[in-house]
Amino acid sequence: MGSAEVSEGRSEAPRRDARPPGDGLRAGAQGDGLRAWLFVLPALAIYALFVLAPVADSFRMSLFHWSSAGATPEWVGTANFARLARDGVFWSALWHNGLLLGMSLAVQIPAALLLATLLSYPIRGRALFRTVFFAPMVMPSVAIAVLWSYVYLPEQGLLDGVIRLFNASFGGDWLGSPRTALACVFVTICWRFTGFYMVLFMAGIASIPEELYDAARMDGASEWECFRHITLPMLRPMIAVAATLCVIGSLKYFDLVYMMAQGAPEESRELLATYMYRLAFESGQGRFGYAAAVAVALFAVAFAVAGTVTWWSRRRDE
Amino acid sequence: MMRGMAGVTAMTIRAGGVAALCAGMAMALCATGCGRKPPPSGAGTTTTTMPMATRTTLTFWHIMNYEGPRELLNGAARHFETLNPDVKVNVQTFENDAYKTKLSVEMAGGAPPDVFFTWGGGGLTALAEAGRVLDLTESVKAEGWGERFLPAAMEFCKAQGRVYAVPLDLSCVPVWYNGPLFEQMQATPPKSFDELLALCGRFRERGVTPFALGNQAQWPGALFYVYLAARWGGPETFYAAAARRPGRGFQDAAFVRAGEGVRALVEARAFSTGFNGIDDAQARTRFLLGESAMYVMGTWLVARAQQEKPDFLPKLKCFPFPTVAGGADAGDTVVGGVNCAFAVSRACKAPEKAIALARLLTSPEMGEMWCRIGRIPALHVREEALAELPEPTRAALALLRAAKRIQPYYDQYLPPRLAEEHKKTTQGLFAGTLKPAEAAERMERAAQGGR
Repeated sequence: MGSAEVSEGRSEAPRRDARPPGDGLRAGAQGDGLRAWLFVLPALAIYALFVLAPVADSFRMSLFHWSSAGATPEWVGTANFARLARDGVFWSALWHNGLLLGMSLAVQIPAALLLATLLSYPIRGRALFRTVFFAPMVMPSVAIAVLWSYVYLPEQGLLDGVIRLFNASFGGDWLGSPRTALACVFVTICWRFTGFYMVLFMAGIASIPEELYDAARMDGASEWECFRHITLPMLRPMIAVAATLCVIGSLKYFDLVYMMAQGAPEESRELLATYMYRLAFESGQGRFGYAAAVAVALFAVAFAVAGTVTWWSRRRDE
Repeated sequence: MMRGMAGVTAMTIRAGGVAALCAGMAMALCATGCGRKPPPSGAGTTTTTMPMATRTTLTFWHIMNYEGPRELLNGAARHFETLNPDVKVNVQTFENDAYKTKLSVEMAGGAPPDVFFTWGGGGLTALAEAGRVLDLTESVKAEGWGERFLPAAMEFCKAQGRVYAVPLDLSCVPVWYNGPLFEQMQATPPKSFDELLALCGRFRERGVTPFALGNQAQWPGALFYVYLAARWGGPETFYAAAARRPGRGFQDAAFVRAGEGVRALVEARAFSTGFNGIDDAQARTRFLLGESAMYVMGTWLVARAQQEKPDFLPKLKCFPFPTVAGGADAGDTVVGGVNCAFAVSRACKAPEKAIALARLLTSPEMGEMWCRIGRIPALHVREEALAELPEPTRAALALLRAAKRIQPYYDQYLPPRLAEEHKKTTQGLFAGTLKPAEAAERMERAAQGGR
């Protein structure tokens, strides 16, 4: 059925192009192009002003040395990038982004899939569960950071409270220790976003025709086989969307890590985005040029990864 | 009882205080003659000579957005407007950390404020070097303005011998302790660092956390490091390193020893569990609830304690940070600094008016009002005014007065980038990811301009 849809779509495409020429409104290819540009212009202008121009400006800024807020920027060519290549914190940040990406894909999407599948059964309290699992998504991230910092609070927090039932003198340095800080924040991130993907998958599952399941069950398929051979394949486009969102989200991720992991030493707490922000704005550092170089690196990584994901999912579709 | 006292303080400020302050302000202005209007011909800017319809607007930024200082600063601004009907003062307040960001961004080319709050030290020096703040050296010479200030406080507002700001608030860092907890243990304030370590062991045995510390923002832990370095090498070692004197630097033995001292405290389990992951407010709560015996923190703690747990105030005692055996400093140095000063932006369109506002904000009456809200003024004030300070603040002030030298906070004195490196390396020491020698080396490298 999935492939049928695709082939239908494909056969439709040439039909659109094959509209008879000499249509009253069409005055040749050139005029058509102009008209198209005119229609695109308002959106493009906004996009160019708020997205393309700042990106270009970041590229330009990354070639300057900007010693302090008050100083005039000074042209240094690619020196910022040479420094970046030797910057341990930058590489650790990149590694952390990779970890976050891997963990998000490996935990959030399967967990969301599981929850969505379970909630697709007509169980009691289904709406309640759905709301509860989705709730973290609607909470502001600042509130989540505060809430979870109390979960991880040494000795008095929820987590230590549970551990202390078994070991009364336990006290964990969860958000301060270089070994655990980011891992703890990653758990919170998964807790937050799983509900979002769950809702996405639930919508996908709801659109799968019930007859498919009826037919399969009549043929003696088990619940697992129904999931494996109906739900999963039918959800594939949805999973691809979720994975893309997940990948992009993990690359540009900022807020919970910035707010929760700041107690850990620098090389064990930064993501590319938090490192960039701290370089540019925190404590009047004013290293705008160097921060812009980090931003350019982040852009390059995100562009490459997102491009690969899009290319890969397109190729699979064909 | 203390709660009542706090209430009275608040009431005085709200009701009678502002009126009294305004009256005082008027006198101060007449006395110092800075409420000059009409402006002297020639020196007057276009804005001040314009008719009433086009009022000059001064923007005034500060971060003292809590009861007490807020009322005083806003009251002073309103009073300035009544004295200068052609001027409107637009007061904007910011949160501490956000302010640093905001100021650096606006100073870099946005819309800088006319009169603004500063901590002095390295941040102010950076602005002065970039030509963003007005040189006040000549202005403070006029009519004895400069003589109002405590010389030690004024030092924080200078760069290359020139005055770039005027201080109002002075603070210092003693070791605060919980009196009754010490009595229960029959402990006396430790004189030496070794005694301190031994005392930490005794508290741990009793199940009491020796020191409350919430090091998430990195500066609370740095106070220990700054003190230890000052005890080992004296403030001179720090100044020599900061000024890049030949042959001196942050690799000096004093800094390495300070790092070792931090490690010794961590290994003696002197701090609350997970101190790197909790913030200062959480640590303060533990201290105020009597779960920790000691707390190294600035004098601003008193106002916080008054607000959050007034009945703790009688228990709040302090002692000077212990000395180290063989150190260059025999306890004559106290860590402290200016916690509120005012600078005038170079971009200001009406510098005369802005300077007059800064002068009003640091009037002798303002100094006395400052005592009344429980804070130590950076100005000379009458003894009777100082008597109005809360008991713990007076005890800390006695330490400050007994000290021969003030060691500035590194993160306020050093240029921003080096200050950041200091906080990071100190945090690394606390977390055990950096060895004392490595931390010193990283600081030195950053000071030399690398990284």
